[in-house]
Amino acid sequence: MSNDEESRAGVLSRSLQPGPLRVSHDVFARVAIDPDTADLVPAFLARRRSELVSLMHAFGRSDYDALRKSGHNLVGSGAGYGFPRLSELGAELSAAARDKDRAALAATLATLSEHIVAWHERYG
Amino acid sequence: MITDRTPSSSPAGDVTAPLVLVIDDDEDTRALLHRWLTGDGYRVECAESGESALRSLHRMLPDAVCLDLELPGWSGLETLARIRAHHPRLPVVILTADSAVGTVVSAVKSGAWDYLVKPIDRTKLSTTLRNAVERSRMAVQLAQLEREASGHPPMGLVGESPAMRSLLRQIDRVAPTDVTVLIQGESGTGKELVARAIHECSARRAEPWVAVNCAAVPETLQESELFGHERGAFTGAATRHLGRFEQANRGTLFLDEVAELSPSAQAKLLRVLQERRFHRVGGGAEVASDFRLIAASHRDLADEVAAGRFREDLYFRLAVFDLAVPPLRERGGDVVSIARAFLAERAAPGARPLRLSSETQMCMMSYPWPGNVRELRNAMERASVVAASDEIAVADLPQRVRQPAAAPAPEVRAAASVAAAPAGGRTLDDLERDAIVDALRKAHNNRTEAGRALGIGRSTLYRKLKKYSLES
Repeated sequence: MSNDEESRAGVLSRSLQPGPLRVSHDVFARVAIDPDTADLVPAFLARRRSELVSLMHAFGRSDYDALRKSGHNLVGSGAGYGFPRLSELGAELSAAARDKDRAALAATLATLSEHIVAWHERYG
Repeated sequence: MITDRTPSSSPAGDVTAPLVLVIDDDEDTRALLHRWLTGDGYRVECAESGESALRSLHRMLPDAVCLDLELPGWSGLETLARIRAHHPRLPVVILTADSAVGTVVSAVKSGAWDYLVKPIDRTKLSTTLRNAVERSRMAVQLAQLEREASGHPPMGLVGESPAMRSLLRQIDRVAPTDVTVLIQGESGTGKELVARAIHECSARRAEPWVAVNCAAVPETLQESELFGHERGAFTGAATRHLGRFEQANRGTLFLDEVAELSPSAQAKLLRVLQERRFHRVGGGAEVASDFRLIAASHRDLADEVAAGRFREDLYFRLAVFDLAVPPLRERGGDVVSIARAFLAERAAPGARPLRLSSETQMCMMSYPWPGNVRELRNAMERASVVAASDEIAVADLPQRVRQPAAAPAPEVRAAASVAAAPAGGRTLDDLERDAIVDALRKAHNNRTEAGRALGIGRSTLYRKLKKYSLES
């Protein structure tokens, strides 16, 4: 693992630790939850937060197929639940996994975890 | 796994609401689409793989399918091809996270109705599905018009009773597909007419219609009859004979009284349903046939399976889509409509058909018609011969029909069924067994009461229960 990868993986690990998280307000800027599906959102975010651990494990064992598949699923569901940024991050994750670009994967996973934790704490 | 995740606020109770099948392996996407689509007034079923969707697709007959391209197991394109093979008119909307032209072109070339790129826009999904369902419903209406234009429904399928309307709706739904159909109903209810209507409304209507009454073919000849034989395959096989499966190539094969097939013929039938290929008796080369199979039985095949007389695996292959033809006694005023249709059929060209007096109509409606439509036809033929005027009176009806107040005696019912039975069809033993089963069911298994209803003593009933292996 390169120094850059290690530092990004460190960000990812720290974001998974319990406790207050300082995040940019941009994280919430484009959230638009539909009242028709609002009751589904807490469980959806809880599942995404749990999934972060398995994503990190997949990254650790270079399981690019699992990372690509998870990215694909996030593309499909993120915007529908009111989180268009999640669909974008899913697309980035999927592309980085397809290219086996570990640096891009580490960066995307760190951003992803920052967003998901923040959203879960506010809307979960 | 197919999951009906319909919440209580959905239109699940409204069976006329269009049905959409969502196939996506992602639980969150399925939950989201389910919520959106039920909100739009659809009934929704979900499947997590192509395999599980195909297993249930024939039974549910949706109006449209939303199919994710990226699936575990069968890919989306493979699933699409399999859906198209059996349900060519069913619109399939592809959901894909890959907007590359190649992907989209492949999907459309494979017969997709439309595609939506993920993340799915709810408004676009609503519009696309509305169009898809409209097209699907038009295909069903077209099949209905084709059925009507081709002179159908045939006589026995005349009627406006809820039971008959439901049956006709199911015929319209299943006819344009290519799935195997199992038709069950009492003798004389018109199972072959239903099968014929399905053939006439299908894309195979210009191709052969081949009907076989399995009960009329001796066990030793069943395999030769169905699969053909080569010259010299057995004593008397002087020439090559093409079996019914070969004759039905590109068309429809109707196997009536399929429960009467021997265990050996059942095994061969199972194989041909799995592989669409078979060997003629005494032949080495494999023969392929493109047929649609419709099977029928007056027996409850599930009961036959439970009794060990019919292969369970074959039953599941046949009952991909099962239709129950209602007995005439459950069809209310249809009795009169069908009788009028028969009388119109018998009228000389240009002449007015005989009419039914109101007393005659009442009498006919209060009679249970154990021989069903076949018995009704016989009664109308008799009445039209003996009628003294242009109106059929109660006196013109057969004796058993004229005495509807009391339930007909078993021997009368048996006689009626015998009269209505097809040549080479059910035996007296079959009828007696059925009468006993029926009496036991009505008496909630109380043998004394069942014996009384049958007009036989308790010891006679026990002897017959033993004879027909009904002791348990």
